[in-house]
Amino acid sequence: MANPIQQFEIKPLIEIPVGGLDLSFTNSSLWMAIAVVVSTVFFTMAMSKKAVIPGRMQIFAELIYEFIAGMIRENIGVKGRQYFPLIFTLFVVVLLGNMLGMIPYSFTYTSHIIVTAALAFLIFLTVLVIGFAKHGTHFFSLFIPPGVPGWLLPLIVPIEIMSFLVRPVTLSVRLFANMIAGHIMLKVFAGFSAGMIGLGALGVSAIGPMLFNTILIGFELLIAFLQAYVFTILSCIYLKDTVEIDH
Amino acid sequence: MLRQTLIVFGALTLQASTAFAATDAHEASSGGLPQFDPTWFASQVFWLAIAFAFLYFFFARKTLPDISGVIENRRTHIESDLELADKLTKEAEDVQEAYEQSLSSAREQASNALIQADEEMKARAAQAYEDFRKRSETEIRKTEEKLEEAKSGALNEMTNIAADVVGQAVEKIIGTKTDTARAKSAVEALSATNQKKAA
Repeated sequence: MANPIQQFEIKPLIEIPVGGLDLSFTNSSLWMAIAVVVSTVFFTMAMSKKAVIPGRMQIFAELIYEFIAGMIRENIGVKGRQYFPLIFTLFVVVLLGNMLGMIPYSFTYTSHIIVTAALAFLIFLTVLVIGFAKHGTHFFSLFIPPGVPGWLLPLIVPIEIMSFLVRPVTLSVRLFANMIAGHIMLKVFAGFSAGMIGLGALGVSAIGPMLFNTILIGFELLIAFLQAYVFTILSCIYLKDTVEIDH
Repeated sequence: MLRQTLIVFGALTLQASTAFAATDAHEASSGGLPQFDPTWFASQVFWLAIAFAFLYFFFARKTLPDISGVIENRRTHIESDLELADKLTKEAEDVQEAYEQSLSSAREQASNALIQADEEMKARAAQAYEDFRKRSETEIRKTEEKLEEAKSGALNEMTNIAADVVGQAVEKIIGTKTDTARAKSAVEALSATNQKKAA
């Protein structure tokens, strides 16, 4: 039976040692590159005509655009337009990472904690840098919720600070855990099927886990989209703090 | 709920798989998830940064302006179409209004002309009738005068004739010539008494 975590192994394809660092082009880098190529080719083809009456691909591209625009409008507000490219890129990178991972024998770069953490810290640092640049020390008022009595503040403020600092952790672990769990499940059930075939007459029962795997693949496709959506919408909510502080 | 279930499943299978891994000879060296092996952290972050930066600039410079341009273009297109439609509707309404105005003025003119013509005709008819009445009255009066004249002329003639007849009768009967003037006055006196008797 194949090891279900073998699919997460990183294999260097081109060795690139830079100083003490190993920046090799790996299978993970390859699938990132594939995501880049797929998205650039898709959007270039979709927007090649710039038709007033759009074709199928252009409708799809505009659909994604309107989806992200609506998300930003609802969660950040009108001032959120400056983050449009960031949010859009984030959504495309995460969605393609999740979706390309559903192809058999591919590699899911969003199932690696270092990748999701890098994306989450990108958002976290953006919030910190732009938040301080815009609001200065007023940014700290984020940790004092409105309407809290003074004697509660020594309790509330540390909690608020903790919940602020833990954001990149929960953001990255949520995506990482969902991806890794789903992919291991798929692999395990596929392994059950493969194992049962070897049982001779009982081999017919291999169809059971296979059917379950079929349902699971549909479910995983939904999770792949949903997690990209959740990651993006939470980033929007965090970025809202840089635009306006309610109190 | 589903997510939590999945994560629990994942954790369980993870334990199972690490147990498998421990038995697998080639996996024994790592003994854990490849995700927590820091060997490839630098490489992953490096290539992710390149991919992310490339996509960011590609989307920011090319794709997003393209899509927003198309959407904007479509909106202005629709707006201008609607505006044009509004303008045309207004023009059509103006034309209809002008038409209705000219129609009503023409109708008014026609009725005015009709009334005028009617009045003119009536006046002319009245005039003609009046003229005819006057002419016929004078005609009748003249005829009556002529008739009167002829009557009185005839009466005078009759008196003269009667006086003549009287004169000749007197001459025949008594053989004397009579004065015509006397005979005439006698006849006139007679006819006057006759007329008085008749009256």
